[in-house]
Parts: sequence; structure tokens; C-alpha cells
Amino acid sequence: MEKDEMIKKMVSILADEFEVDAETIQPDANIKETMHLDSLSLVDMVGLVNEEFGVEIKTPDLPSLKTFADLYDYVYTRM
Amino acid sequence: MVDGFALEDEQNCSSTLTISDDNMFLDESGRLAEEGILEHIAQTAAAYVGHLRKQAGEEVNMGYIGDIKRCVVSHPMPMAGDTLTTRLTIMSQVGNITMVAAETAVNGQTKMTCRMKLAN
Repeated sequence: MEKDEMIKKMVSILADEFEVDAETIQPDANIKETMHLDSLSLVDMVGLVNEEFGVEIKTPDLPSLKTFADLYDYVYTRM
Repeated sequence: MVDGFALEDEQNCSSTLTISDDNMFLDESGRLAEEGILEHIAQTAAAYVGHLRKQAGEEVNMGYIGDIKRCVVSHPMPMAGDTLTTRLTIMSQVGNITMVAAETAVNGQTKMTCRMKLAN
């Protein structure tokens, strides 16, 4: 899967799961603020990424994933 | 609310519960209320996470349900004497929060599927 294809799929599933406008999911946007994540819904995002891309986001790595670009890079390099 | 528990691997387990006629979740018609299955699933998840924590030499704390999502129920609900069989998969773990996907059936007929987050 090419990176832009992965990004398109990621935007679609995140917008659907967290019920936000896909337009708001921009690479430099903050993940938690954009999708209104709390500790419980953060677990949803980790589960979704694992289920859809087979990539397990490790708990210690989560603080470093601030923007969607961070998330894309993290997932793409581990697919 | 769990009689039998079987560990399949690091991410999957199963459990059973034969509903006794004094089960506190039975309604007036002798059927198990939906929250009875949810409690059975939660205790299955708690047993599972507790087992994994114990194996890792970590402390085992009291668990509580963080949230329940995508809960689908198929009536009629089970009755006293029926046996619930639940298959549970760990979807993700972040810190002390574990998200599981669960399916509970009676005689091979699915009665409930859901996703549950357990914090402990």
C-alpha cells in the first residue's frame, strides 16, 4: 500500500469512527484536539490502527504522536 | 458470573456461564437481562487481564468497565439453565485500559456482540 493510499484510508476510518469532518484531519493538526480524544477513546484509535493496518501502537510511543503526520509516519514505517 | 475460563493465546480466550435460577440478573419472566451478559463479558475480560498481569508479575487491581460500544443484542434473551459461551479478543491496550471485542452465544446462537473497555 502506498503512503498516500494509507493516509486516505486512515482519514476515512478516523473521521467515521470519531464522527469528525474529514476536512479537519490535516497532517499538521493535533490528533487529540481534532478528534476530541480522552484516555478511553485513545484506546479506540490504537485498536482501529491495529485492526485496519496491523500496526500496534506501543503505549510508550503515544506521547510522541501529536499530529496526524506523526501518526502517518509511525504507521507507514511499521506496515 | 463466570463458571469456566479457557485461555487460547495472548489475545484470545473463552468462558462459560450456566445461568442459575437465582441469578440476580433474571427478570420477572425468568430471562437474563442484557446487563447480565455484559457483566459476564466484563468478568471474563477481568479474569483474562488479571491472568496476564499475574503472569507478568504485575499487581492485579479491581477492574471497572470504562465504556461499551457497538453492542448488538439478539432476542429472545437466555433463561435459567441456559449456558452462555463467550469468545473474547483483546483489541488494544493502552496503559491500564484494555479494549476487548466479545461475542456471547447460547447453543451456537449469538446473543450479544460488543466492544468493551476495561480499566484496572
